[in-house]
Amino acid sequence: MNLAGFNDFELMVLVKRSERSAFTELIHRYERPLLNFFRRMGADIHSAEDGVQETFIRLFNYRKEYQPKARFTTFLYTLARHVWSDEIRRAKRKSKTTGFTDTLEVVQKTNSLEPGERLDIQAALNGLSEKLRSVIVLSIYQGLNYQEIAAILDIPLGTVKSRAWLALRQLRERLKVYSK
Amino acid sequence: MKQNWSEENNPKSSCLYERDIPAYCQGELSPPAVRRIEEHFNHCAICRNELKETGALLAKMKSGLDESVRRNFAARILQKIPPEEWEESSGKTSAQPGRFVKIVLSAAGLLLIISSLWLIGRLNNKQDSNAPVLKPVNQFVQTDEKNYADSQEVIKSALNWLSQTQEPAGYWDTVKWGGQKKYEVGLTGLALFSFIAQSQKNQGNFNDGTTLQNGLAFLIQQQNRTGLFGPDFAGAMYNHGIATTVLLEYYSLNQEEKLRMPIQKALSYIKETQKPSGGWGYTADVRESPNTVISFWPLQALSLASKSRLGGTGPDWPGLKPSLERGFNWFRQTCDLKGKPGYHRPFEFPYGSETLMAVGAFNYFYNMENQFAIPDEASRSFREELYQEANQLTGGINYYGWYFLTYALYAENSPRARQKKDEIINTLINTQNQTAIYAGSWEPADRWGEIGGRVYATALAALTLEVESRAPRLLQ
Repeated sequence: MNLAGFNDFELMVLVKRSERSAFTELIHRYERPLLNFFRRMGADIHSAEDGVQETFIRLFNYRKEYQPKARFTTFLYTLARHVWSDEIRRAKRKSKTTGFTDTLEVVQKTNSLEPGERLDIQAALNGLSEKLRSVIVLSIYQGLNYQEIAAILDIPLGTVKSRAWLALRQLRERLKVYSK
Repeated sequence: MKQNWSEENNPKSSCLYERDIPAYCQGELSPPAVRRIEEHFNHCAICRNELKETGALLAKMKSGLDESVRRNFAARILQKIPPEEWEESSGKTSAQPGRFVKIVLSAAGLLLIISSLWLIGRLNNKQDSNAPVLKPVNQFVQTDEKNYADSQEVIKSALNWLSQTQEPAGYWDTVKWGGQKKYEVGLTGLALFSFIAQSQKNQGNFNDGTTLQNGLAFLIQQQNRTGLFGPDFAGAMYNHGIATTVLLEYYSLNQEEKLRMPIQKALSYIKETQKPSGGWGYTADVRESPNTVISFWPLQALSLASKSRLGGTGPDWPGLKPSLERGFNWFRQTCDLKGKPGYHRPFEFPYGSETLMAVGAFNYFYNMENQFAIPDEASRSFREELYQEANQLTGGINYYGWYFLTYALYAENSPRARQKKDEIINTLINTQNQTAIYAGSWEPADRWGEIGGRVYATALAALTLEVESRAPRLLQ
């Protein structure tokens, strides 16, 4: 069955019935946005692919719990955010220097850069706290609206707005300092 | 658990409105709040500067990273899910047959699979072992391959394949060639575009015009009382917009009176389904947000109608011009500072940005540039962005994106645009299938291949190759 004309809600109804083709269609739709979500959050390419894979597996496992009360992307990115948080926690516990842990090192390194050292956008983004970075990644790179981001991050709408402002301000300052 | 904003470092803002500026740039403020802050900008130099810097940063942040997963990524995920998950659930949702019935059904199923495989092997859409291997444009070696001069021969071969696979009733059986039934009207329209282009170039119709006339007659038969071409479903606007556009393009060359009424009805349908904001969505529901991918086709139809001198459908047709202007205004609002359209609004790219950029560029060069005064600076940054996205778009097979991109690059007409356009054309020339019943077609290997199948791939590849003959007419 080919389902590309179905909307996400319709596909999830079929995924709940364990329709393999509907799940495949959802993967095709969101694998790339999710990959870029993890990459923008700071994961290397292999870890980002692992993150995407884990998100889809959780989507399948939680398919019965899905209710079409909010946009599908809210549900999906909530799962992705949890995957990211879990991996960060796991990496901290294990203190290994692979995968997501590399990200932590990048973040730490970024924070200790000296003025004059070149900092690109991604490095500047890595230098933000995870809370601020999440808002920027979901808003600017994933194209989600503030209302949806508030639901995904489980924070008030006003907080999303404030974090977006603060994050952009910090990014500007970092880019100014490090591009000199 | 709710987290509090005060956990963050919270520097003071210089002005009360300063914190609203990112939300303003991202279209997150309510209309009254937008009015208030815009009024405030008139008086506050700090906020004007903040607005400028925030806008520049947002534009800068979009550059760079936008990656794709590896091939067969979906298959790798599916492998992680135990097969019994699928089978078990399927069993739950259907009645449990008895053992004997199961055996009979299994035998019938096996027979069906064997016969289907045989039929698929004979008729359908599997890639032939001798078919050329598709690869990204930028991986193509330009030596020892067919060159640009061969394009006419390749186009002719494509039109031959299309005319031979057209059904007697005038349509293309999309399912037979690996596509979806519900898009039959739109795919028939796509196939007909290339016959129109060829008839114009040769001052005579390919195949005595039989393919074209049969196809147009089929499209007209598909129009219902509301003016809609094809079935009413989410995605119907693809069918409708393409069918309306192909009829308009043919009518502008041949002025056949029998097409006039269907075109008027089709344009009325487009006007009636326009959202209050000016765009179009998957359904006629006014609450649904319009998106740029769907909206392109009705906009293209309205633009063609407005440019043509067709009496009732000409520029003086009541309601057409305001509808077109509302559409263009909405489309412009979806664009970022560099002119790249987002899916619903600026910076929103749920399916990647490169195809949207190509569609937006086509719209810019062929429809909007003559309608609006576009500042030189905006035009320059737009062209630069187009070239950046062109590099991304040619990193993999994308017939839909390549079609729009090639026409945009033709219009842009800088040396590097011409080079990129020729790369795409060379790729298409060298990937046309040469074997058996597929000779003249292209493999439906891109992300929309499962929707449109071989007819989609071949129609768009042919239309892309026809850029030199068709684009000048569209630019007039």
